[in-house]
Amino acid sequence: MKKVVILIRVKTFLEEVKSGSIDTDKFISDVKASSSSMQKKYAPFITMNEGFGKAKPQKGVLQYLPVSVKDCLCTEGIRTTAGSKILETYVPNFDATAVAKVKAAGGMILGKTAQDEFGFGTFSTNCAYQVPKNPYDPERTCGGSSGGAGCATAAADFPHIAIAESTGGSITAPAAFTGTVGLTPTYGRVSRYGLIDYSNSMDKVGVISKEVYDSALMLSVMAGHDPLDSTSYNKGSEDFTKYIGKDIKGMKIGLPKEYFSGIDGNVKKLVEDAIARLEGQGAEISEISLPSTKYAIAAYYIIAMGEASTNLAKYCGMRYGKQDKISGEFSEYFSSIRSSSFGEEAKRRIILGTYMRAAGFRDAYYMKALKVRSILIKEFKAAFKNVDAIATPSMPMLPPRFDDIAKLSPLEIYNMDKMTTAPNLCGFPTISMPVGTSQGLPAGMQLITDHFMESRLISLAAAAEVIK
Amino acid sequence: MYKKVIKICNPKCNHMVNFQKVDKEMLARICSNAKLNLTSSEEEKFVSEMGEILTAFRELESVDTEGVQPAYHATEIRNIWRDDKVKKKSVDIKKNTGALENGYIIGPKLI
Repeated sequence: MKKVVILIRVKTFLEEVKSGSIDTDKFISDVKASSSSMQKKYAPFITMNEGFGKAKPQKGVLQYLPVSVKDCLCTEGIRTTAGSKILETYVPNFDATAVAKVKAAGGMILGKTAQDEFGFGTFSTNCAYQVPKNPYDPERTCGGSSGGAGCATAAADFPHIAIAESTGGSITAPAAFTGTVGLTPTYGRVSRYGLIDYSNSMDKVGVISKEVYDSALMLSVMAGHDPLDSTSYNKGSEDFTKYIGKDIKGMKIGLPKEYFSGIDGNVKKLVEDAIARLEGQGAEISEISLPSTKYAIAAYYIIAMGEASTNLAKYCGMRYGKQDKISGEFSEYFSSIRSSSFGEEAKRRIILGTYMRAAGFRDAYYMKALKVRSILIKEFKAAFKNVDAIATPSMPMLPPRFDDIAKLSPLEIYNMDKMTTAPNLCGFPTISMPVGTSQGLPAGMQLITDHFMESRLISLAAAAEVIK
Repeated sequence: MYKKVIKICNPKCNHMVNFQKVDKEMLARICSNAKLNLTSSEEEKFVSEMGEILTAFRELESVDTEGVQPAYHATEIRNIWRDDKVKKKSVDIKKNTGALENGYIIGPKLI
């Protein structure tokens, strides 16, 4: 008799599917029931895939694995809104390359996960649809902008991996706040084709999962050159799971002193304990300094808003997305659709981005920020000559309550991205590892390596991992 | 606790100088370019917030960038072009378009 299993690790599940010992029909039916109940409780999805499990998945390394997709990635035949009302009716007729690769490997699309509108947020509170609730405490945030991906991964009582996306920390923040693993690859490692742009020089498709193995497996499937994305790295993929279990003895880890001050003491203690575990396995720990990272938040937001303001210019209410009865002259119609459909944070970023690119201000803001990015890249590269990886807390605090977030100004929220903006701005790969809980709430440790050194990142993360 | 974290994250937030005043007239010019209409309450809110945010961003002024090249991208990947050949079957790009006439997309009048 075939097994009926629901709560099982991804690696074991895939092995058992391969050996034919799983009752896949029963599994699909159980996953549908469980995800529907999860949606009612925590709202991780904007759109559930009505067609989930109806067609037999393709044969491959992910066969029968439920995969959720952040709503900013196009999915053929499944509504894709990027968390915005302006795309409320948009149903793509093509898959993003990352999604197509996952489907070709046998993954089954479970649904489209909640996010801040176009990725504009740290706490998934700038959502045009339901705000995802943290499974550790529903009165608290899952983090953003890939909040639904973190929420679904933490809450799922079945094998599941989430395709997520990060521009300035949108994988690390939700991974830290939901006690999950969040892998943000090097910029260009995974194709952006079919990804709805926020800031095209920083957007990266990545993963949120329960274990390091799952993230490594998913990266192996999604990575590689794509002729449809002229910024994708012109190398093929590899099996990143082979880097799990490697000896980390002698690996050098730098702790930037700028990232260990001004943070919640509980988070600091949990991260220091995790670093001590790595040291116990032979890693060599030293303090380093990255003094220019204090400018990362400003540089990141200037570039991100500048790029967002141009990327969002295409939403004019004519070709796709929100459309009204055509009336009035062009600017009147265009402005009316945009004003009634964009949320407050989207408007704020479009306005600020337009201002900072305008003649007279461009050199002071946009060009200056691009030069500061050069300085930051150089500073990190110099550090990577002396250390193999850098470790920091993932977020400076435990997941905040929604009522506390509501009291923060936009600038105060931007400042919460202190840990994540520099590596994202510079395109370095990162992984956020769960390091335990304090007061019943999870915290994460962020590991950063040089460009295209995901192999080292995975070895270190696996060494730091405590599998429940 | 969060206020404390914020203050330490960016100490300059509490010592801002008003470098570039953003008033309603300036905001209207930006919104005209960005094709956005704001309500009066949005105008009030954005004018106040923009001053604060832009002043905080001006902290980059203190960085010496003399002779530094701008990094338009984080990695040294340059455009990697594919051959100019049709490989994929075409998709119906007007599938999501509501207003069509004779296969053309209908838009509002320009002049």
